[in-house]
Amino acid sequence: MQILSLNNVTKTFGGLVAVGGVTCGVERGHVVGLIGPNGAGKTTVFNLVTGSLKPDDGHIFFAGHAIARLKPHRIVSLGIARTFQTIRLFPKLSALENVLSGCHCRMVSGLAASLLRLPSQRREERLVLGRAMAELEFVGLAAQWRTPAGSLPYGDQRRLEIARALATEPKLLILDEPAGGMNEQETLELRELVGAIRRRDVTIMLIEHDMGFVMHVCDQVLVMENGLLIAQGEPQQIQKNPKVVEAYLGLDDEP
Amino acid sequence: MEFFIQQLTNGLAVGGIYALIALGYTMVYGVMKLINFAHGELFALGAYVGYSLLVTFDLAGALGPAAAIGLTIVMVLGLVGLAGHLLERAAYRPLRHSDRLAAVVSALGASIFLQNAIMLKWGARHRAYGADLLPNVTVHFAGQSYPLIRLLVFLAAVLVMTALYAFIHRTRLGLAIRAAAIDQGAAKLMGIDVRSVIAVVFVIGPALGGLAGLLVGLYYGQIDFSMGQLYGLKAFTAAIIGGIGNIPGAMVGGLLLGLVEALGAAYVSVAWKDALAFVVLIMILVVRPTGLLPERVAEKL
Repeated sequence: MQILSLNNVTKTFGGLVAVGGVTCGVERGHVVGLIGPNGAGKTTVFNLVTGSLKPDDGHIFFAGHAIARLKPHRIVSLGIARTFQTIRLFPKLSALENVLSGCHCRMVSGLAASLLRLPSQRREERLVLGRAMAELEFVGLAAQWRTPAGSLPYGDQRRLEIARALATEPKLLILDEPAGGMNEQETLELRELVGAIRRRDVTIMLIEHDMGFVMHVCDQVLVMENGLLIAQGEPQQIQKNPKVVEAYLGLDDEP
Repeated sequence: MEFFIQQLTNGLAVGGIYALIALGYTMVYGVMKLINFAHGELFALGAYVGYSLLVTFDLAGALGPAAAIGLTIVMVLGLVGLAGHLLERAAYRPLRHSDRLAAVVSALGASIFLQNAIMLKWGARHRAYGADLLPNVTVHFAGQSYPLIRLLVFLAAVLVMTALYAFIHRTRLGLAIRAAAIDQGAAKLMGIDVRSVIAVVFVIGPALGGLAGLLVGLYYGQIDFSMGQLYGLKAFTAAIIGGIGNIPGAMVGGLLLGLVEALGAAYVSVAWKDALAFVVLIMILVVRPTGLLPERVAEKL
């Protein structure tokens, strides 16, 4: 069953076609890699799926809902969460508070309950606190819960971003270059983390330039170039696909 | 010594009022990066709503002074908070995606509009709360006597500021406000409805400003329709002194400014009171342009 499907999605900026009629789907439970040269439109696709951008044309369906025109926070509450290419934690807030901010959309108490500190609301806050700590534990940052996010080492910040995204209880987690800037050891740990997330029945979609990483963790790979989807398939097929080789290495004109 | 202590306590009371108004500037700036120039007028509106309730409707005569003040505080918070919400709807929300200058012009327009609306409704003359509104009680402490109202004004300001601080740091909505102040885009993608965060900020800030207006009426006994200008400017100064966008900063800045003014008026000259306040502003801007407590200012570089 496809949890996410894009149907002829188009987005232009001025005269530039960033995404030109992309149609694709993501199977539930899969880890799907989105690759392509710089400027191919990968991040634009992510921004369209998460509602940061609205497509000029086409439809996006997620778990039975048409989401292309919804506001970002509504899409989050339907179950799509993301991390960013450049880390966008709340640097002054503690690690725990960052994760708590992700829990926000799953809390039901309204403003009045929050101001009056009703018992139902206090119970909920205790519950959420426990869940946020569990997410920190999951990514291995429980001991650093008090540390301001901005003071954590780079690799920890990346993992904290994932914990914050997981706190929104997503069905689909979108990772924008999760291994970017990581050393080998950190990349290896990230691979394990992705495996653990998938075991929680969370579908994952990721952009990544580390091909070893992509080939290792992904079930499906989508390849974009110049705003178009040029290939999709399993990692082994993709590696042999002549169009992909051309896009990445350039056509060999030499006789 | 007695003179000094009287001026000191007076400065703290006035500073508490500045701090309450400054909170409204700083909260709105923190989340929207916008100076709400109409905030001073909302403050004046609070003073006039209090005037209507306490003088025109004579609540104190009907309920006794304590209940009347309590009810008036609740009504002022509610009505001025509502006015703030309507202001945001009418003057700022339609401009959220246009450039910042448009919002500033809209803020100035809203300020002029509100000031004139107050003048049309309540008249251009001074209005007096009346000296007999509250029983003229004095408190004796450490060999000195202070007017009860001075103590109450200071206590009310401190109480409200503490409550606000706890709200911002202990509740999920407070966390959402802090998150939106740091990075609106990321906050949205974490499921935070930034539009309703802005709406909440535009209720709390004006409500506190309105309360400050009521306190000024009770403390000085006299209000006029243009009072929002000078108080607004002073409180804005206080917010900048403390580091704009920073809630504890607004409190510190307000209290400091109140003290400087009271002591300046006492030991230098009453005529120089306002000038001294702005001298402090200029000095802070020269020495520490980000304010006294800048480390919590939302980072937007």
